[in-house]
Amino acid sequence: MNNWLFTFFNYFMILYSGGLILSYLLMTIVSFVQIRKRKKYYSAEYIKRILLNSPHTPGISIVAPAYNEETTVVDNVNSLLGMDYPKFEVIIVNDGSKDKTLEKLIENFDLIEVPYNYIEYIKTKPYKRLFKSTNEKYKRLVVVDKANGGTKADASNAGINVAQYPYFVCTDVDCVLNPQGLYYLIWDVLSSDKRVIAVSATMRMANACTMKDGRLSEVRPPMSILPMFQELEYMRSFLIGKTWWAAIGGMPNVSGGFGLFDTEIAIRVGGYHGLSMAEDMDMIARMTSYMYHSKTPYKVTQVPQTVCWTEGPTTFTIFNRQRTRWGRGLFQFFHLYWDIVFNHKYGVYGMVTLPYLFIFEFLGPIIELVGFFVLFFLIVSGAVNWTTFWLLLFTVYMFMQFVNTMCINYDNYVGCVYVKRRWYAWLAIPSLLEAFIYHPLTVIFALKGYYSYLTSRDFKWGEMKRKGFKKEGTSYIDNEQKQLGDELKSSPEQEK
Amino acid sequence: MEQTYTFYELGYLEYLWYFVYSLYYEFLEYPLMIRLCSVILIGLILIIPTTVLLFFIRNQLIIRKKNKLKRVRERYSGVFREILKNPNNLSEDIVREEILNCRSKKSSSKFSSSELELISKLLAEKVQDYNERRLNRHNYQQILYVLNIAGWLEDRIEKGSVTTCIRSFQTAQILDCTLRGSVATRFAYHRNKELRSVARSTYTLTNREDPFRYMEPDTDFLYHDSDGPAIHDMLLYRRDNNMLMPNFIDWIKLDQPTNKFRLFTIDEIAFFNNTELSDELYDYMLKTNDTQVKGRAIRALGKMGYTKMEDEICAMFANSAGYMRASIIVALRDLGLRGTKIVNFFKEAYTLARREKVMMTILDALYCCGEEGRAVFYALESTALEKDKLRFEHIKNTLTNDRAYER
Repeated sequence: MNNWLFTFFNYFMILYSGGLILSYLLMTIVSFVQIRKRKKYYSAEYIKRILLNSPHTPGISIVAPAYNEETTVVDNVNSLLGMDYPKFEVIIVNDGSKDKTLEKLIENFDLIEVPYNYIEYIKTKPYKRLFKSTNEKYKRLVVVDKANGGTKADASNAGINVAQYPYFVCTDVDCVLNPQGLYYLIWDVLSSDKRVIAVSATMRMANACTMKDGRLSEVRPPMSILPMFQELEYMRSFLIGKTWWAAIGGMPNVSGGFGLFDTEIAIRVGGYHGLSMAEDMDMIARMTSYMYHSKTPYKVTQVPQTVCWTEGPTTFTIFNRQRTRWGRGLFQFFHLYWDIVFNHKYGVYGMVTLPYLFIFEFLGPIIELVGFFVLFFLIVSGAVNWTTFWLLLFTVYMFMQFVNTMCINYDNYVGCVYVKRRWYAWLAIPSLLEAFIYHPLTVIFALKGYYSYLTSRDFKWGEMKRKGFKKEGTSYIDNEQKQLGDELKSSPEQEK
Repeated sequence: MEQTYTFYELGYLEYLWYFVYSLYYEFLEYPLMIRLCSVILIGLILIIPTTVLLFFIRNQLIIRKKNKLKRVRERYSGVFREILKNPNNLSEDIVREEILNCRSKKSSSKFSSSELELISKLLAEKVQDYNERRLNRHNYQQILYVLNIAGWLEDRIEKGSVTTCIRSFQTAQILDCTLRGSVATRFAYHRNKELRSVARSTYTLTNREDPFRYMEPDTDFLYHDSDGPAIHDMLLYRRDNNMLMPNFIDWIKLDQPTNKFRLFTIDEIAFFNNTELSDELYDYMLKTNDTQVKGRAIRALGKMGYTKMEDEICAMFANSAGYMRASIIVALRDLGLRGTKIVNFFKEAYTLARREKVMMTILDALYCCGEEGRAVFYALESTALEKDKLRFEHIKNTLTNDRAYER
């Protein structure tokens, strides 16, 4: 019996790992072809020249929910207002913040409450009021105040209800956008043969970047360990993973941090699912289902250029919370949408994307855990062939180095965002250490998320403590220490 | 027993072959998994350093190009600024002299291709920096002429790859540089979609006699949304330069798989205020069954002040649905009609309306309909239920009433 079990496990692992490696190889090749094709034909100057003064350029509503963001909200809203695009509005949804987020907005942007006829296309927690600026400079700004819905989805839906343009970008208020970014996104929509329901764009870590006048003045890779790993992970996910999925027409999700959506379709499918923990995957699943059911050809595309920078978790506690939520969200997603998996009616999405995600993303952590136990058992029983073991391990490790190297190369090919190109060398550190530090952590937190979903333990969305951006003239460390000091000052122990 | 040989027994070449074969047979003895992993590993060990090396080489090339651009910017930026901002129209000789004075090699008046590539980038930056009003168009054209940018682009298009051709056509459009018609015609039926499209748009932009030949029924013209802004840009250019404009009604009648091109053309008729086409557009509106096209045509006619349609569209209102109703109201408001008849129509329409967006459009039209309309607006407000009062407040407030509900 034991022999049979081990033989089965052996062959299963060979097939599983082989499949994963082959899929990565295929993704790496196809994504390069896609990036190269795009780079060949699209000139940013040409796109801008065509769209800048045209009345046919579609408007875009930027929806950014804010919950307890008083530290960074003013800088970030300034950054959003500084977008270089002819027709856009910025909708900040104050999701019942307990701090002074709303007060800071009112004070800094000359806002007044206006009698807005709020039409609730998508049901949300009660809408309270709407603010607009009396200052011509901030005429594009709209601030919606609503009761706290507990999720970002609920706040985003309130923003979608207010959006006046045919496309909306959903982002976080702490995200800093590339001022030219909207041109890239909208060009994908306009130049497509099919109806583009969503556009994803590359995101990066903003932890070590410097801001000036609401814009990033110096982009550099993060210096602290966790964001550094995430920088590489994001690059890989967007430039290789999502580019591949977009190429075969089966995009699984458009990041909750930044993505452009068709307002009409988003409203028709009921917006974001208020109770979903993976609201970005959920939204694409419902939009895709809607398009398949209405038999309308559609597309979800991926823009390789970096358009958005976000502050990544810097402490293990916050990182744990984020990844546990993702794990829980993934479990919830497959629980809700199991009928789409392996369902030929949903084309590539049902037959390729979701099965792949289920086998390699969802089952991955479980199989890895089982693998560790089996390895431990084999070591104890002395049944390990160490030569084969090291050879296999080194091959897989080198393969990951290859994928990471390619992904850094792709980023450089698309257009280096760092001030100095030699800063790419920093990314060698997370690339070399990822397998030993970061990957085990993500596996543990994903399993924790599954367990939490299965045991239905009370779940809290969790607050992400923002450090704010480094401003020109101050050092990043100063900024961090100041922030730490502020946190200590306001901690309950201190207050007592 | 396996026989082994030494280096001294076999000599150089034979021993090398023997060594390779012995390694190969030894390798074959290992299990499949080990063989496979070894091959992959060797491949990866070779590929990774090569990619890293290519990365450095590419970076060095980019840095070198950037430095060149920096030098070109330092050299020409000042002189270009002076020429482009000069209110006087400078002669070709003066412009040539000023540009040549900046060059290190004063004897050579010919610019190399790589230098022109960088100069064209700099010029594109300048064109985007200065808006139309601040730019002396005459002097700008003189710069293009002196540098022979058109000739250089044509040369690149003739000899370059597909990507170079696309980029060159795009550069020509960015720089407003006129290329020979034959250059664009050559690529108008190219198998590459992007090249075909950009060649045709360049042709339309520059040709004087028959600029819209690729948008006629016998061509394979297929409209995309991205063509809209490009065609609009071309039309603006043609209007500003008193060049031949197309017959938009012919465009509306073009056979296209979707309505997008028709909607675009109707918008263009309204944008260029082609009032001479109003009658034909009105006839087309009456004939078409597509509500989206009909609605858009009504809005366009409203913008152009086509008052003849008033009775007809008022009669259509009762039998129409959401978008058409909103279009009729918007058109009637844009016509600027006044009097009891139209006010009563709006009032009745308001009582019939069920959709929130249509109701707001009607209220806005009433609010804009002179004193009589405003009096009815206030009367409706006073009798409205408490929950509906916000609708009236929304219309009255200039900060909220951006007419987003009309779209």
